[in-house]
Amino acid sequence: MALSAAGTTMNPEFRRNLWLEMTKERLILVPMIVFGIAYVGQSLLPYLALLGFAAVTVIWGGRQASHSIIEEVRERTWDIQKMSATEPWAMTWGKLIGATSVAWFGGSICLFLYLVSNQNDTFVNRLLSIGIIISATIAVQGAAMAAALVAVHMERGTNARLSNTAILLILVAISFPVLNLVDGSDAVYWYGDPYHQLVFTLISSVLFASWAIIGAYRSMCTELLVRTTPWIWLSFAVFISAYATGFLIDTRLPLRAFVFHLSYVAVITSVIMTYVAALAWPHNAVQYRRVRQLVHLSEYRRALEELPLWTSSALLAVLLSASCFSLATEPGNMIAGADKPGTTTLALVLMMLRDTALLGYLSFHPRVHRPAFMAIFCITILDFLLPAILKVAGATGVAELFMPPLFDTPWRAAAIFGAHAAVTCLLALGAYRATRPQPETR
Amino acid sequence: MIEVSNLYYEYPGTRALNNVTFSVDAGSITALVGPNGAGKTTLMRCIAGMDQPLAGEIYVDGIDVIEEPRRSHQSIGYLSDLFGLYDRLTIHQSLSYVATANGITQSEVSESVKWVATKLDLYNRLEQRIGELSRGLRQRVAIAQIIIHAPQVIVLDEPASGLDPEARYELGELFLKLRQRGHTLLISSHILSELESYSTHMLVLHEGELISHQTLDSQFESTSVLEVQVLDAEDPLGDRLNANEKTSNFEKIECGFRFSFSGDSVARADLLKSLIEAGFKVSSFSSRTMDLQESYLGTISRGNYDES
Repeated sequence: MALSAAGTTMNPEFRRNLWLEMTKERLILVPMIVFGIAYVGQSLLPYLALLGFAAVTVIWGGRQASHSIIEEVRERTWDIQKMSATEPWAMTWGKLIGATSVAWFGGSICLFLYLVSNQNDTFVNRLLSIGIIISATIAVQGAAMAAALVAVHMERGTNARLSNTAILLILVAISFPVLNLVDGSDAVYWYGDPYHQLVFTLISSVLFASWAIIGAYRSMCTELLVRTTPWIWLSFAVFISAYATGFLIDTRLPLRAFVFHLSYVAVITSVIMTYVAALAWPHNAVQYRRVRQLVHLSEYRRALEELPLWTSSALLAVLLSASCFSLATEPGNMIAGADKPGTTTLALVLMMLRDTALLGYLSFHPRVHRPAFMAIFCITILDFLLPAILKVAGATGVAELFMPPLFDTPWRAAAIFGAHAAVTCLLALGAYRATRPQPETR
Repeated sequence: MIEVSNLYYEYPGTRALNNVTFSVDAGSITALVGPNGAGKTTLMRCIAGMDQPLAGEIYVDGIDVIEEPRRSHQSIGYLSDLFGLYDRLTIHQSLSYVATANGITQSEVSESVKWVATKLDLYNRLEQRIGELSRGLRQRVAIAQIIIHAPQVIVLDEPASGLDPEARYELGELFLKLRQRGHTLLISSHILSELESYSTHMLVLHEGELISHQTLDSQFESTSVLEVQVLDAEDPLGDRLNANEKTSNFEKIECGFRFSFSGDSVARADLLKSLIEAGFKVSSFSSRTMDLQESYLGTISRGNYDES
């Protein structure tokens, strides 16, 4: 099993995972359990088979994919992997397929039972449904592994398990609506054109699965000290924006109006991605110092490689906001629910700047141990809880100083968020300066 | 074999390594010593390409570790002080895995496993699960894993911690054998008496700075600990000894002093002669070779003295 005919070596990570996962006991027990449950619940077999597949591959498989990273760190074997010559891509697929091999073994039996027992649909539709289920599962497993790598990067300890479990639960919750689509037959309209729902969902889930695997691979690169530039992250922002815009507009729009709508969606996407990146990889003062030093040495490519990921999507949001702002003045460039969409995007970007600077302040502060959680806590209090309490108390004007209406009064929102951002930037800068080592006394 | 220049490493608010520069010769065993928090583990992880420094250069076997950490791993075997092993695998499976993960082709894996298992006296236990092994055997498996791809440089962080005296002795013997095979070793440990038995060089780190890098063989040949006792008053003796440029690290003993002396037997004879000619009634004059612990403590105390 370990060798190909030519004597080349099987992916060592995949083989090691097979040694651990595909034990004789499991190979006997898993089919016995699956067929046993199928026999007992014959009347509900198609649903039971789908449920069994979800339980085995999405929940257990997702857990296995994330544990292939978390357990390495917990058992202190991660250094062996980091010191090995295994390339990030081989490490990624070796873990992703190897660690989930038993889950896929059990899941494939469930899918076979679904295929043979579901007589209510055409054979092609059943195959399409299975394709959707498989690709959605791969997306969850890939995202679970990427999330585990991020959690490990964030916490370097047993707490990573907790963060990762939370992320995995969110992923599973997101995947269930996708699985629900498999019995639908309505058309999906995208850029104004109708598509067969199953075909559209299948293509979407294959694309998202590909992105999840790319995400896991890039996170693996970071962990294995393989340097990368942020172009994949930016490409993902563009992909999500183009994908989401398709549900909002019609291709018959003039080019400038199309660009306006795309920019509007892309600003929102980039802002969300900036929050995700900033919370996943909290600010590191030493990393910023290294970037400064590389810029000082005119090593711009290296500086780009060192630059935190959130900065690239934040910059994209700023540029797209400017594009949106300039195009919003043209007649016909309107967004439902937003009177001044260009100004709204400006306010949104300033809010993002405020919150990333707040996270920076908390990350640089020596007494804050979990800056991401603390930032979420502060933002929740300042943006939601405090304004809500003030509104209930009748102090709406004061409440809007904390969370002004983004869509109704975007200029005021921009001014207030701009003032907030100035304060948090100053705080972050002060905290950053305080992280410098004390001057040498010798 | 290892070239480190102007290396800086920072944690937020703390400079863990401050302008560290040194080079390690091929085929040497260098003891990396220093108090807790001196930066030993950080330095080792930087050399092994596991952590990225703020600034500086590290070359191992001619490879730029900071630019190409993955490629440098072909030339480096690194064992962390808190290492883990795959407890559910057998020794054979684990060694085969590490061999292939380090680029050894399948046709050579069996040979490599056999070689390293024999070298570390694990050959008769290859089918045993790692989880069932004792601490000493686990240590041997961990070392086998890092040397299976025959790296030029072997970096070991506290490899003897938790081992019994016999296992420590065997470990020292293994290091000497590895040196004979041409490997270069960098070893950190708090057990200086063991480092002494196999180390050729000593690097002393203190508060992130390299305060000493010396060749132990030549230093041991020329540095000794002397004890001089006199029947006269001791203060003039102290002044007299302190004036000699080869003396350092004075310690008061009954009727005299214990101190380090960096001179050969002729210099020792000259010192004795000068004391007698100066009129001291020398009742005892003894000499013994300085061990690594004394050398280290001497270096550290000089470092502290310099600081103050």
